[in-house]
This record gives sequence, C-alpha cells and structure tokens, in this order.
Amino acid sequence: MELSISDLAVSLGKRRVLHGLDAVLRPGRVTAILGPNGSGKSTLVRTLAGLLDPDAGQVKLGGKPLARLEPRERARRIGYLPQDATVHWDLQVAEVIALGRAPHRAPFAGLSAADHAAIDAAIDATAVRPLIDRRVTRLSGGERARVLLARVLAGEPHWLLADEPLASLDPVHQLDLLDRLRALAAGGMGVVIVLHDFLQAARAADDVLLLREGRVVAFGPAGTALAHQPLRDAFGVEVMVIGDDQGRLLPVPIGRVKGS
Amino acid sequence: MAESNLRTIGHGFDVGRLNQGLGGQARLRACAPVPTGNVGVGERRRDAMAPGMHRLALNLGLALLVALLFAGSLIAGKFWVPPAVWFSPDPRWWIIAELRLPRSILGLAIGAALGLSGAALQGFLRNPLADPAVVGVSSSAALGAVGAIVLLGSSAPLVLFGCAMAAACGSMLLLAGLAWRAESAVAFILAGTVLASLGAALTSFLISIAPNPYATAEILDWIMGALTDRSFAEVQLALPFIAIGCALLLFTGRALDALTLGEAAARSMGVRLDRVQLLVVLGTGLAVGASVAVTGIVGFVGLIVPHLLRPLTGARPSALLLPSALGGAALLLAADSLVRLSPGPSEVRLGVAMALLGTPFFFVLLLKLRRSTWN
Repeated sequence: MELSISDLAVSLGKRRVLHGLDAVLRPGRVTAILGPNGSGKSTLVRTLAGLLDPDAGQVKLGGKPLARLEPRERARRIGYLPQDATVHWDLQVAEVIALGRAPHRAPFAGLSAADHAAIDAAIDATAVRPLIDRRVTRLSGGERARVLLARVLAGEPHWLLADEPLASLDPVHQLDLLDRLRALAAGGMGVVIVLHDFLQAARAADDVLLLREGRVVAFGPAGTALAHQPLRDAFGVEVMVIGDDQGRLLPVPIGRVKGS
Repeated sequence: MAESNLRTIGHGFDVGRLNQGLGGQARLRACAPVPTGNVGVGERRRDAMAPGMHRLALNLGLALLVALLFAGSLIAGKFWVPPAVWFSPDPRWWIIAELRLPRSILGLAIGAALGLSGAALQGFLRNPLADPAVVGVSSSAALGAVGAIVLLGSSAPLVLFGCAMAAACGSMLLLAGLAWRAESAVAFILAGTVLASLGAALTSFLISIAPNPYATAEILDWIMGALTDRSFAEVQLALPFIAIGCALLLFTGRALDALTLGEAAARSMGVRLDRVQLLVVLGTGLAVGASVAVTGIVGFVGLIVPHLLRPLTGARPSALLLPSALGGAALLLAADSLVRLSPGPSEVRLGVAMALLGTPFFFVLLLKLRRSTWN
C-alpha cells in the first residue's frame, strides 16, 4: 500500500511550512526524510500520520485520501512514533505496549487473543521481554526507545512513521534501532524515519527525501539523493563521499559552503 | 502484591508531573531510586497477566466498603437508630426514611461524582494536581446559586439548583470554547483557573451587594457545603444529572490511557481529542455542577481519592475511574457520618471538614514527594 503525497502544502499557524511536495513512498523500504533544522521534516511526517491537515494537495494511502479515513481506521494502518518520549504516568512497560492496541479495541473490551498475539510479536521484535514488568520511568533511554517502538508495532500498522527516533540514543542503540527498522521494512512494512544526520541516512535508508525550507531538493534511492550536489543544496555544506570497507558510500561533511 | 503496591506509593506523585502541569513538556523524571532488583518479579508478572481479576477484586472490595458505609451513615448520628427498629412504626425509623436516606443517597452520588471527575480530569490533563475546582466548575456553580439568592431573592431548592446548574454548564461551555483545539493541556488549565477566579470574584461581589444580613448568612451557610436537611426533592433534582455526567466520564477511559503518551501519539492512535474534551467538560459540568448545586462546595475529594487509589490500581487512568467513583462515595459517606457525630448542637460543615482533612493530607503528600526527590 503506497503512501503518496501530491502537491502537498501545509502551514503551522499562519506560516507556510511545506510548499507543493510530491513523492510516492513505497512499502518494504526504509525512507529517510532528511534535511536541516527547520526544513519541515517533522511537519511532513506529522501530515503523513494524519495529525496535520494540508492547506492544499493531499496524502493518499493505497490511493485513498488520508483525510477520508476514519481516525481509528487510519490508526490501524499508520503507526506514528513521536519524537517526544514522555510517558506521563508511571505505567508498567507491558501497559505501555498494550496501549498500541487502542485502534483495534472496542470500548471497555479487554485484550483479545489477537491483541495478545500482536503484543507478543511486538515484544519479540524489539527484544523488550525482560523489561515488561518494569516501570517506564526506570528504563534507560535506549530501553525506553525500544518500548515505545514496541507500542507502535503492537498496533500492527502497515506504515511506521518515526520522528527523529535516534535523537537521544548513543551509537550502539542507534545502530540497534536502525537494524530493527530495517528488519521491519524487510518484512514488508513501510518505514519512514525523520533524520537530520546524513551519515545515519546513508547507513539506514533505501530511499531519501531531501528537504530544504519546505521544498524537495531530491527524492530517490539513497545513492543518488545523498550525493555531493543535493546535500550541498539542502544543508549548505561541502560533502566528501567516501566508501567504507563494505562498499557503502558515506557522505562526510567537510566544511560550510562559502557564502551560505 | 502488597509489596509492589507499597513500592509505588512513593512515586505516585512526583516533581516531573508538577512541572509538566505548567511546562507541558517536562519529562517525567525518575525521582526515587526504588529497588528494582529481581525480588518479586515473577510475582508481578502474574499480576500483569491477570490484571482483570485484580481490578475486579478491588472494585468489589470498594463497593462493599461503600455499602457498609452507606448502612453506617443511616445508623449513625445524634440519634443512633439500631437496625432492629427499621421498617417499624418506631419514630426513629422516620429519621432514617425521611432525613438520613436522602442524605446518604446524596452523599454516595456526590462522592462518586467528585472522585470520578477528579480521576478523569487528572488523566485528561496528565496532572496529579487537577480536580474539579481547578477547572472552575465548583466556583461557577456556587456563583449561580449565590446569584439566585442575591439577585432573584429566592432560595427555593429548584431555583437554586437551576441557577447553579446553568452557571456550571455555562462556564464549562466557555471553558470548552476557550480551550478548543488548543495544542496542549496548559491552555485548558489556564482557562479553567481564570474561570475559577472569575467565579470566586463575582461571588464575592454578589455577597458584598447582598440586600440584607439574612441573605449574607444564607449564602455563607450554603457555600460552606453540607448535606444537612437535604430531602428527596434534592435527590430527584441532582441524581439524573450526576448519573449522566458520570456515564460520560466513564466513556473517556480508553482515550485517557492513550493520552499518557502525549497528545500527538494519542491522536495518531485514533483518539479524537475534541470529542474527549467534550466528554470531560460535559461530564464534569453535569456531575459536579449538580453536586455543588445541592450541597455547596465540598473540596478535596476529587484531588485526594485518585491519589489514595493510584497505588492500588496502578497509574493507568482508565483503571482509576471506577475505583475513584467508589472511593469518592466511600470517603464522602464516611466524612458525612463523622461530622454528624461532632459534639455540640450543630454539626461541623462537611465542606469545612473535608478541607480540614484534605490540607494535612496534601502536606503529607508533598513531604513524601520531597523526601523521594532528595533520596
């Protein structure tokens, strides 16, 4: 089920943040939305999640306009992992993960067998089984990131949209989380992650949507989008693309573009 | 089980949440280095697997407590009426049927309304300091009643009730309008606080222009909050509104749970925030408005009860709703029975007693909180 955007324009308050975006995101791949601070990445991913209404253009899921899906229906298909990792009450990890079943449950109904199966699968996919009796406030940052990912996965979405999922993680946990996201995409899920670090994008993404000031600079396979010129245009930095010993191309920032 | 309950008491309430009430974004901080060793892990896992049984047992226990306190509140008072003379021509039975029964029914219903709306508001605002007073519903209802006494010169139950309900619902609609589509709970709390202050100021103003000392005395008498001399007329007026309000609030549980992860996450899970806000505002307005309209202001129940029960239910807002309704009913019945036993010809006012009881409780809570942040 493709997630496509056409001529998408979005405002926050009175300020236009996204200007006429076009792209077709494909399932089974990791797509990175990449750009400098303030380029509209979070706004785009929140619009994809149905949390913001576009001024113009639309988001379509499998050809159907997102705005026309009933919120619970949309929530069953699109899971959203916000950047804000706050859990406002001191819940048990198991309770947090069970929250992910909300779009599937009838009011006042307990957890069904299907709910338990989905929760178990999410727990396994994120390796949080040893944590499920702990309280969320007692978790490390890396553990909490995995638990919150498990919450989204418990909803069995077709698409996973994650806003800066790596922001507060150390390198080991960043790589761990990226591996899990890649595994999910390999299993057929559509994975969209917001990033501002193009080295991470080079490691993790199949496709890259490069943004600058609310406009698409480049959209395509990581190899083409993460090249010298598009990165220069988007970030205003000179980039040297080097190859690592596994043949991956890694763009390394070497200095600011003069006059930018 | 008891062990894990004890463990949660210390941090049912913490600084991170105090901050986030005003900052909106402060992260929940782990403030107490609580032993999280392997002790009791297997035990707690079983709890997690069968939370339904545990919840049922707790609710049944609380319901039993309410039933006992209800019976107790019929028996207790300046005249003790032993069950032996119930349903007999003995005049003491008349005391129960005509005086105490409506009073106990109101105590039960109002306690449930206050406890439930406190739990729902705390969940909705993600703030353990929220209660019906914070959103201004109590002071608006009081304003309506005082307006009836001063401006209409009437203290007939129907007039008082109608004016208090109208003011409570009007202010809740105003609140919903002010906080409509606001991005965070902060706007809601601010708007509520403003309404509460406005209600209190206007009430003071009305008292100051009261036509005669008799009216002033009547107002003060009413504001202090009491269940004394309430009849079945008041029960008939208040009960339907309280029942509808409580039913609306009970429907918010699933959404309140989702809000634990923040507004964006909740909306992404299919929660319609505008609808939840409407349910909370309407439910609180009806239930608490009707309560205040017949008893005057009885504070602290909505604040205390969820805090007392959170260690038993866990922190999930939906698991707290029904127990808070039962707990509120139990607390109010117990308090009302106790004030009746106070020595002297007149009773201690219920509203006054709750405040006297509530403030020390709040201090203990704060002390506990400070201790847990320092350790």
